[in-house]
Amino acid sequence: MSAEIEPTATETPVEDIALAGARATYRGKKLPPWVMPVIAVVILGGLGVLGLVTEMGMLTTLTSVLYYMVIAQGWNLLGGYGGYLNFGAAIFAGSGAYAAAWFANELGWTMWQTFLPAALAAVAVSLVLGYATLRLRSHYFAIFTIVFTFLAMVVVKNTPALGGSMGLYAFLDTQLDSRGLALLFYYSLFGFAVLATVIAYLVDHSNFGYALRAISEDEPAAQVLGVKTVSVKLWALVIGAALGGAAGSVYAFQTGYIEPAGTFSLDLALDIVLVCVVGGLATWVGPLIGAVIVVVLEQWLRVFVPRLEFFGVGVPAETNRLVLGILLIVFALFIRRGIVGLFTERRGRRITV
Amino acid sequence: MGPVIEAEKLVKRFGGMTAVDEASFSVEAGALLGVIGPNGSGKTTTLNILNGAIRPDSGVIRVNGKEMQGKPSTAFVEAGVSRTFQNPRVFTTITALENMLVPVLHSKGSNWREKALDLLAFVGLEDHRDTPASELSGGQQKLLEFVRALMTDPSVVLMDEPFAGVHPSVKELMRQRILERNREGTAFVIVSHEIPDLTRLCPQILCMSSGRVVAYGPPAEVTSDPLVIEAYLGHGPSGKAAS
Repeated sequence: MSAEIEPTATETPVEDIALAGARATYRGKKLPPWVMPVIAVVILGGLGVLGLVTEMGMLTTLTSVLYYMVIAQGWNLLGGYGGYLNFGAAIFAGSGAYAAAWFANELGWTMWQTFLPAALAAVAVSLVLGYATLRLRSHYFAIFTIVFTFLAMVVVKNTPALGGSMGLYAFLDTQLDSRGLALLFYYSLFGFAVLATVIAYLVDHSNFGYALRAISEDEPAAQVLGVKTVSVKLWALVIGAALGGAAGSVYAFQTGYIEPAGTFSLDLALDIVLVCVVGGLATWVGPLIGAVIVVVLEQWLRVFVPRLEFFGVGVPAETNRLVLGILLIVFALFIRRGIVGLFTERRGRRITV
Repeated sequence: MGPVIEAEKLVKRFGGMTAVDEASFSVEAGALLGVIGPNGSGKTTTLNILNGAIRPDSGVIRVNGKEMQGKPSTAFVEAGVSRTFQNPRVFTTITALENMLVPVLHSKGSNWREKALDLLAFVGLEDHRDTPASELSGGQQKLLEFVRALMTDPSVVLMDEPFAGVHPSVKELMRQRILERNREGTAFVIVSHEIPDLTRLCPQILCMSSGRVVAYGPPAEVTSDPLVIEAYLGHGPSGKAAS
């Protein structure tokens, strides 16, 4: 009991002694708060204007950008903020696409009317997936989503009401010419992209978002502090699934024909992960930046790669997947916080000795 | 007022090892109870049982009169228990203020932000509201964790080693703030190896050894108890008492 400190009898408030030297306000690499909203407005505003002025080829590419944007914003809620990396994005977009095609075929519903059922179908599927697996920790969850994607494909393939392996057609009964139709799909997805971004922004700045980040970092601690982690994760999954499902309904009408293998494809799921990793996981602007970069790069490679020749031998068209794979590895190893992370403060634990 | 926590014959085994062995005790409302015991005596496991992080193999836990064994830790928080950890487990990717808002996610009410700022000021962290928790010093993280545990207005706060590895002045601040909250009626259960600090702070001390409660009473009584001395030294009081 020798080295005991007697209570200070001075007038100095004790916190001034305790925190002397540590009081200086934190000055990190911090952007003014308006920078990210401005970037988001520029990207979305640019896409809003480009739709009207660009030619058809570019419009198709930009439609894909918007499609990926909506799904990626939804995926980012659980996959980015919640830290539950998964490969299930195609399940929800696929469920939405199939629900939309089914309602169009069976009940003659038009695209607008299928948005809600498509979102609800994806929500229903996400509830099944979530209840079954969200008690699992992240890696097991990631593996299960791959299995579930194949499972969804097999189920659809063997369901005659959903067209089986033949697939379903989704026609839009309309007077619009091809450009008008393209613009309809484009601005439908644009609307969903804006909605998804607003949702992502709200989550980012809410107690729900903080809890998701807490789960991502230390789930048992979050639980002990009173966070109902399973329900928080389930909500993140469900909101993301609803967005994916709604985007899927536009996809069904845009392509006009959907079949199991192409709809429940791991390529899409991997691309969505890549979009978020490149843009910045757990940031609300990341998926916007990532979708533009990944989709434009992918489309460019698709055109560019088949033209390549090495010593007179053509390069297989699939090489574009290889390039995207390398991109994922580069970001995962060296630019872990994505492009948004290059401009924002470093947070989180560092490994120290 | 009755006890906030009653533990009856708590047992927890890990494989062949009995970490907590029929431990029974109670924590009165507004109490300030220190828990001591050698390494491996079951202190942290007991805390983990008292907030639902670990389910006991048998025994009864009542929080404010409600039976809680087998319930998830979120139910313990709702019943009025909160805790801090041996190594601070603040969430490093979010700011100090955002850390404060995590425990109240499911709580109704709207002025949580104001309350969080008041509590940050309570431990002198008001200038660090927007600092990512990863940038706070170890002592500041301990203070943040302490006030984060107060966000839900708990009737009892379980603290695991609040004084370990922090600067003496932070220790003193922590001590004063604990006393302040305690005077307002919050009970504390504090596990610590810093026995002098603990005996100075807590009017009641509980000593654990090999998973059992071997002594419970005022500090002077507990630290001179032959069973406590044996627990720390491994044999009876042959000469000097350890404290």
